[in-house]
Amino acid sequence: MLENIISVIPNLFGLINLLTITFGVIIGITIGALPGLTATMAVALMLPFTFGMNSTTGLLLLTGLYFGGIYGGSITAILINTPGTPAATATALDGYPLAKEGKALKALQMALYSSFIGGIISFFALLFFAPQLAKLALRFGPAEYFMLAIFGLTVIVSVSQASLIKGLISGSMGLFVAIIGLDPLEGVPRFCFENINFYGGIQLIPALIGLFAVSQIILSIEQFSNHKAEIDTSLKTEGLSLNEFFNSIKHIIKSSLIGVVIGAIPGTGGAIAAFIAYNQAKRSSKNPDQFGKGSLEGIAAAESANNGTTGATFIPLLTLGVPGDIITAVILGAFMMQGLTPGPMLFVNHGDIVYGLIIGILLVNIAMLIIGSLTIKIYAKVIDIPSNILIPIISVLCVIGAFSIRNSIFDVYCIIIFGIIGYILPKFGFPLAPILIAIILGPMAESNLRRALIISKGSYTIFLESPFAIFFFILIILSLLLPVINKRREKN
Amino acid sequence: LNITKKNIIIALITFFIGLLIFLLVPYQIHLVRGTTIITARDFPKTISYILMLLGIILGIKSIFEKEKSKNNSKVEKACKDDLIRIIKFLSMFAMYIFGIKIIGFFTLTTIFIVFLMIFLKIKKWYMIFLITIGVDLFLYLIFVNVMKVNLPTGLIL
Repeated sequence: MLENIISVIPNLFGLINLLTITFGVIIGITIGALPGLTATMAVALMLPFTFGMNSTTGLLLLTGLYFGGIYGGSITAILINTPGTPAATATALDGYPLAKEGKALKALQMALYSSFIGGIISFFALLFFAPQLAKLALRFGPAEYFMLAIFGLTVIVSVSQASLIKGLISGSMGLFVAIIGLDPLEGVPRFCFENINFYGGIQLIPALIGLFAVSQIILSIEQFSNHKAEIDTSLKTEGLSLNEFFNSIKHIIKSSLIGVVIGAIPGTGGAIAAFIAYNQAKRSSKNPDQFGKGSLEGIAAAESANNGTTGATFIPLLTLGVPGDIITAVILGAFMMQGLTPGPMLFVNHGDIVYGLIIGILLVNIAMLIIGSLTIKIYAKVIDIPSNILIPIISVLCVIGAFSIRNSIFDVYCIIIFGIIGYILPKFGFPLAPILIAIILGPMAESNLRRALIISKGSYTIFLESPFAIFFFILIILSLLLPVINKRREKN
Repeated sequence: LNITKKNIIIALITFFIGLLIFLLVPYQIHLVRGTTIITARDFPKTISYILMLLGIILGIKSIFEKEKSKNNSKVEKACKDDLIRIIKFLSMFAMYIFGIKIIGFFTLTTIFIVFLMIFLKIKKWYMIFLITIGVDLFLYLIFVNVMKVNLPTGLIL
């Protein structure tokens, strides 16, 4: 591990990489700070830009966007009570009341510093745990990979809190989208309708640009109004004192660790971590009454937890090839675009890229702290950018982004279809994340199931023969049962 | 339509999508003899069974479950004006996308941005001009110059 780290450092500190990280963080915070635009959208939109880049540089750009976007989401949460990303919802609970009291600067600085600490703790978790897990995963065969893919698919249960059945329907639709094209083992066309464009299958990137970016544009058009919000964004108030910061340090560290643990579990994500940490901080605080009315401790807990998940979500992605949340699912698309398959072999064959990315995460966090500190007042103004300027720019970026993946106009047609789907489905209570998870994990499940059965000559006991397969089987059962048990407990 | 009726319609649509996939499998997937234990048809068929089953479960659940959940009553609904605005936008977006190959990316992008900004009530002409030129230049520099993407030129550019 140490050898790999030392070998990637000279390349990582090259001018292009440092500029890319800076650019990624700036754009990430900007997009995160714009109401209605999410960190997922930032990563999806910029994904095609990484196509011509060196793998490490491209991944660093997306990581900068991801981390910057998550932090940027807290700016709108604090200033206008509109979380820029779902992960910043808990931040708004205390951030907005503080902003109304004229303490917006304090709230924004607390969000930044706790985000930084959360990100750093998450980085160390990734650095130390990911290689160990990858070593174990090297022993996996098709049976274990099939069980792993099924475990990944069970994530759909936890991301479908509102309606499990609708989440499963979304997931099944995603599985169907994934089977379009040539069969992975026999090479026969499936649901191609003799149209040559379908032979290559539905590409992941246009699908996710449509689902997460075009759908957001349509939603912005629906909610469009050309009057500006009236908030004071000048931030000419007193900043955060050292005393105030150190009063919350206990919560920051505890919440970061909560974020790490939750982030490492596929299908959880920053929003869940932020709320769990927020509740935990409220319980252990000396001033629990202040929570929800403008508590700096509340912001510290929520922000350190949601950034605590950022590095940890890369653990299942890099070691097992299973995305931890929607953004890492999009980043997985970037790996695929570069011809890389996330999983244990990535550590063996492309150690330079993996460790470049891991150490890059540290740099991204440092860049976020520096850029965030220097530009906190400028970013507060970003929320004033009217949506009628943003919509045309983002629409064109979606089109050119989808086209540039493989110079195909068919991919551009796909974004409008997926955009409409991504707009309509949530209106009827269907979550979008299961579609994406199924598009990614469906082919992995199918091909490994079929390979495993060829090896076992048709015997299904292969899926319960190895300790790893049994371990994943137990995880699948737990992952299916726990959300149901939790729901029952909440009801009681 | 109340939420129960909506869910029943969704359940029916889900069931029929599943059924459609099931019926299309023999026509859309031609088997190669004796290659794998699980054939290219089996996974799509399983998906169709799952969809039909989920449709039935959702339908039964919707019939027996009265409107008791508070969350259920909060179905987000776009009003008529919003819907018209969305349809107008989607029409412009579709014309843009489908026209790129014929007219050319940069020409149509310029027209699209100008029309969309007028549609979104930007009244300052210098703003429309600056944004359009800025976006075109940015895209040309990044995608054509740096990334060497061959954007469709069509009849014009």
